Amino acid sequence: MTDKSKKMRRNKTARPQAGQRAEAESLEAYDFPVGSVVGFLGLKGEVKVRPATNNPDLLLGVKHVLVRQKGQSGDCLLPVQSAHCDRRLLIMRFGGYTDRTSVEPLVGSELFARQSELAQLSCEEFWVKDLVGLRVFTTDGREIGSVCSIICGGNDLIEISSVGDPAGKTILVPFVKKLVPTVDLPGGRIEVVDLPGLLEPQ
Amino acid sequence: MSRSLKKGPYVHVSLSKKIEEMNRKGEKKVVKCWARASMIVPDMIGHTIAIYNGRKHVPVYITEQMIGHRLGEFAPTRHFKGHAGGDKTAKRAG
Repeated sequence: MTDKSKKMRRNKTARPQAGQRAEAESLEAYDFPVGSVVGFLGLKGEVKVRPATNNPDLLLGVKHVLVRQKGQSGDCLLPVQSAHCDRRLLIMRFGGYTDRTSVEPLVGSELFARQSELAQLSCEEFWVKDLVGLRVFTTDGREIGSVCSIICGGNDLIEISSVGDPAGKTILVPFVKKLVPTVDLPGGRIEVVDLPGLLEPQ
Repeated sequence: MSRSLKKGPYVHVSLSKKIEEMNRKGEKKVVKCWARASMIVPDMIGHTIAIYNGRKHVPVYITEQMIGHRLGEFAPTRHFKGHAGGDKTAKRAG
């Protein structure tokens, strides 16, 4: 093997520099899906984003977004100049994009943000991903099962997969304070009032 | 033409009886109900009614804001789970 080919092989297996690693790690922090760009609005570089969350107001305080374009490997970080909600869509404008032509390549791309930049949830609001998997007990300490999903309806409903039910039936409980008095996220448990007829699997 | 005021709101007779009895005894239990067209009246506040959606009974905790609506409005018969990906929030009602 010649010196030149040895050098090339060494370069191929070279580990990334410290600066590159830090940059990659900082981009990894952008893991919260904001939504996807579905079109543009007006001529001043605003884009319409279909939010990935049911509560787009939480996304209005985001300072930077990571843009991941379909079919392209490189992600880029863009500063958010303005953001507001319009019915079910989020209207955003990015720094450096001043006209409609410049934002055309962004259509179809996915946007991600840092979770730390999102607005705080109110005291009675929870992320669904935090609730799923919690163990469910009655107020007198009997274990019922674990939360498998949250269904949005009249009241939000907790769907519980019950312990020892081979048929795979689930229990639905309205997510209201009177029936679910305790939500202990650090302890990984939820307490449910054992109202007659409520905890029957369906 | 709207419903006559003389008749009052429509509530299915058996549901009305069950609610009245529970209020009289001061007890709380889940009432299964198929009468989706029944109107929510103040007597029902604080009770949990399991409303049939064509497949199963969906429990709904009745609050003051629901008065005047029909029971069926709170148990959707079709369910759109939303687009893939993203994180949703759930709010615990008071």
